[in-house]
Amino acid sequence: MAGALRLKERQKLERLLDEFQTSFPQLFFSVYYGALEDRANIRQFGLWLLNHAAYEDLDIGRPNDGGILLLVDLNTKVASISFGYMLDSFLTEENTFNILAKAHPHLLQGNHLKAASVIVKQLSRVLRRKSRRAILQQKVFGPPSNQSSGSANALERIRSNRSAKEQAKSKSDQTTRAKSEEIEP
Amino acid sequence: MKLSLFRWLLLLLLVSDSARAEPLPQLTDEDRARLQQLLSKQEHPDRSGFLEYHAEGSELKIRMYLFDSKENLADTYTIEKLCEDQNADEPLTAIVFCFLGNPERSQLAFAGQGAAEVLALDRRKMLKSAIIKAMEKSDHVMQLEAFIVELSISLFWLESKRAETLAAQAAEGSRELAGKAWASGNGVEKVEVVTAIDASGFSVLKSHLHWIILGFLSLLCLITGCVFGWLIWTRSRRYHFPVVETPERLGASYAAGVGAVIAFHKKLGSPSSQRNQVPDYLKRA
Repeated sequence: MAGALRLKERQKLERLLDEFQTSFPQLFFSVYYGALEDRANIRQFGLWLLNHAAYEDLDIGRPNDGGILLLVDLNTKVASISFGYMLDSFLTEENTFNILAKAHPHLLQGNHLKAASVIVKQLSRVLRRKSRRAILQQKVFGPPSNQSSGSANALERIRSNRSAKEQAKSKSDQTTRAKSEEIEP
Repeated sequence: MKLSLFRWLLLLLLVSDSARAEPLPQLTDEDRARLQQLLSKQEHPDRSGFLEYHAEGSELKIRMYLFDSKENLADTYTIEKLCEDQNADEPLTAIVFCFLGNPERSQLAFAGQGAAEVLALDRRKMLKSAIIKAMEKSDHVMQLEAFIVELSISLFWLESKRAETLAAQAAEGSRELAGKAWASGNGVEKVEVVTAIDASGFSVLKSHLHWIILGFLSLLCLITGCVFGWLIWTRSRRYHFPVVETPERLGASYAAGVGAVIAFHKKLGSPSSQRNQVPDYLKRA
């Protein structure tokens, strides 16, 4: 966290992220405060981090595809939002820019907790709207194509330092889910 | 003696609709007027018409006795005796003795229900103002007309004053009853009856105040419950996204979403000036 947040602020932010994840069971929100080098590109770093980071405190039902990463570079004072493939069809660059723009005054003041809160709330609002619309479209036009199971397997490999019990449970869950998918037309 | 006096008495009785029954059964008002020749054939209906007009618009009737200017009344035939003879249950009536051509001799008294409540001072003022108005005219008949008109106006104000007094008394009574009902916790129906008589909106509001407060609190609880319910429902609601298979880009297994970047190193760099800074190589295919 690079000392951007105090302990109480961090706890508040964690509660906020938990609420977000409760509302969106497929997604997760992560925040990275760091000091990047001047030459580093924050977009590239966000892309790399979301693809290679292993979130130990997340369950297997939330793949990195549904991840949203807020990157705040305290060195160059730049903030960025990256998101996984699951949100590719629902979030645009304009959406994320508008969300960041609303947090801009708080970022300028160095109030990172407030900035993160604004971003999470605004993003939740956008995602709620998109979700409702998507579900409605799905009801009208039918379900989309099936989920790719390759990414889930790779995710399991990434989160290798989980306990063996949890891994076994997640494996059994996955096989059950795969079987049910085969049975269903 | 009485009979001869009565025959000499040039009495013209002009009364309103409700008070037209002075006992001379064989003669009508018109016959009497013609007999006594105090008013001409045209003047009589004019004065009578005005009294009827007054009777239509007022609850306080006028019973007028018209005499010759020099007529002397018998001691037993006084205005006070006339008032006493009138039934106390009858509506309030102004009894006037007018002496044609001599308005200063005019007399005024009240009989009927509530006659005792009319102050002597008010009565004297009314009579005096009517006499003054009559004295302004030179013609006898015009004097009579001015006298009646002024008396009618005075009676209108007296009637308004009495109505206000009655309303105030009724309001006071209803307030007392409402206070008793409120203290005892029952008798709401009784209060309703009183307020209906009172016809005062404030009293009605006051009598129903506890129901209004109760209703307001119930409404408030209902709204609060609805808001809480909506908040709980919103918080407990889950939002899902349809899973769409997306081709991998840039060799990324999980994410190639190009989000926005915003810089906050200087205060003058507004967010709008930083829009559309996505490099081409990161744009979605």
